[in-house]
Amino acid sequence: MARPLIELQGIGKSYGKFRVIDGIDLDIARHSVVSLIGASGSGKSTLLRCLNGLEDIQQGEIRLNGEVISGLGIDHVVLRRRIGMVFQSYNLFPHMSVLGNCTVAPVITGACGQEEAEARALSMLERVGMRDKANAFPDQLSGGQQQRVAIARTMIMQPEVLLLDEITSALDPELVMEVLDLVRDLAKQGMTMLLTTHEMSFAREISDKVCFLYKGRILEEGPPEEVFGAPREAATQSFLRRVTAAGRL
Amino acid sequence: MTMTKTMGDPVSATAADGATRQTPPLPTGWPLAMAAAFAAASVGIAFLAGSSVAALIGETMRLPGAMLAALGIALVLAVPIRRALAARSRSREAWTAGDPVAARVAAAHARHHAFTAMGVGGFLLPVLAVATFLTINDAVVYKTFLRGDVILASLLDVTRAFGANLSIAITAQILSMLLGLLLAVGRSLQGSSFVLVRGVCIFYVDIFRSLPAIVIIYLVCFGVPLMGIPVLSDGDPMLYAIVALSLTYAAYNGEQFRAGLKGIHHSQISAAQSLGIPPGAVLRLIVLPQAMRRIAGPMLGNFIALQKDTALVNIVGIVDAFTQAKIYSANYYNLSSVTVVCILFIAVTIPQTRLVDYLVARAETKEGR
Repeated sequence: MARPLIELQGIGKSYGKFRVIDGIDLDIARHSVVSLIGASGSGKSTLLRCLNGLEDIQQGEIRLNGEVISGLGIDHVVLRRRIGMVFQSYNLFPHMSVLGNCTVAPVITGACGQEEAEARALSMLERVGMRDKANAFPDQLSGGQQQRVAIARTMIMQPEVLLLDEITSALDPELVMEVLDLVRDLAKQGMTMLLTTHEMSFAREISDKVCFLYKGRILEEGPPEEVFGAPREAATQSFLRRVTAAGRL
Repeated sequence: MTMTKTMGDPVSATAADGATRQTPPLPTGWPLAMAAAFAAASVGIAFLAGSSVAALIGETMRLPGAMLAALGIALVLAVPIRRALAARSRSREAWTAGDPVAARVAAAHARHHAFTAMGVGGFLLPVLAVATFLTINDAVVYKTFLRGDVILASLLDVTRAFGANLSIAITAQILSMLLGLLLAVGRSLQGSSFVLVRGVCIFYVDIFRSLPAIVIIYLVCFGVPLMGIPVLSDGDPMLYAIVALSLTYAAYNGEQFRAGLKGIHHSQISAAQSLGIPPGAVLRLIVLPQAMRRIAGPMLGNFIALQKDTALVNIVGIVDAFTQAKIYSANYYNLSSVTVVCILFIAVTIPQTRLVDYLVARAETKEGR
């Protein structure tokens, strides 16, 4: 079997006495989609932020394509170009146009010149259906449109893996689908993705593997049919029951 | 067939005995009483103002002038007060006639007219008081500060000297912004390696914010030439004044920059970092442009304060507008030349304060652009 693209081994992290991540092992195969589910505070978002060095870990090791990418002395600036991340609150740069948001990183990192960056940005915006808004500013866009631009902005850097942190949680319900459709397309094209979500039916449909996080640990993991269809752990069952009752399944 | 629901209407809520309770109109008594008080005070001051203004024409005009002014103001204020009284009695009639809605509407009108009378009175009181002050005792105040011949004689020289104020202000603003930015960035450096740098920046800001600008100007402008250090001590007094004000305002501008940098939400930095943008570029391209938009207003406020503090350089003998005006006021034994200084400062400051208001409002309503 081929080596997983990402390997997490015994990851641990505390804020003071509070143990946010308490020993997580996880493999993410190339071209696969892994979803993290679980209640707020279970450590999902922190785990994603650790993966591209926005937070440091205190125990364990993260490997990307076999190479250790955690610990002291890692050049996160270079590393992050290989690991893209999209946030819940889009975080577009409000003082730049859509095109400016998309071209700033490739140009400043020297990935390509201004002209090529713009060409790449326009074709990526075309893919996410935002080309006609290239000259608009973020505050002129709906939440769904902003999130599609944020995904395009990240994809232009041609990352090896994409981290999606509750990317539909801040959206109005009627705007969720346009973003999820886009993620579905990316998955079909073979993008490796690790995502946290509250959209259970989406996680069930898109994931190759689902992990249920509980108090900083992966309590249960497996194919979506197993975790959603026949959860083994009592905590998983109760979480899914509550989510179903809230109408999110 | 229609069904009407009265549920949730507090005004026509049904009381326990089945009768509909009605909320009475808003009070009209105290607004009318206050309007009357404002009107009485305005008429009184109008009497004084009319008397002293008319006395400038001739002593015999005093009483007619006073009567005329009082009568004019009384007539103006009588209009809203009469309307308020009429609306108040309409409201009472409607209430007794069992029409609570009409009563409430009329009471609202009565209050509106009463507040209008208060508002006009609130405008007239200070205006008439100033008119009285300027003209009383044969317009002695007016003649001390606003003598036309002194203003004309000093206008050209004072305006020319005001150029010194402007060039000190502009140069010191640029220097203090650069130094301030350095202080702010120094103070926001993370990690244990930079603890000393952070300490120095905090120390600088604390010291220079506690010292009066006039003391620093004095120390720099007299102290540096006194030290006799080659090159450093051979400068122009203007240069020393600019340095002194730059040192002072760097502390204020530095704090402004720091507030601006801190005000950028951390998620913006996370997003920039996650795209692989290096730290220097995150500051330069993402954080600073957004921070600058937000602090443009307060920063301009500091600049206005700096412009006004340039008048302090007169203590070290630089001929600025104030120094020049004092020479004229000593020659003419009259302060009207200093009024010219006031007018110049007002003329450059008011447009800027309006711009500050606009920038602050824009920063609050519109993100970016």
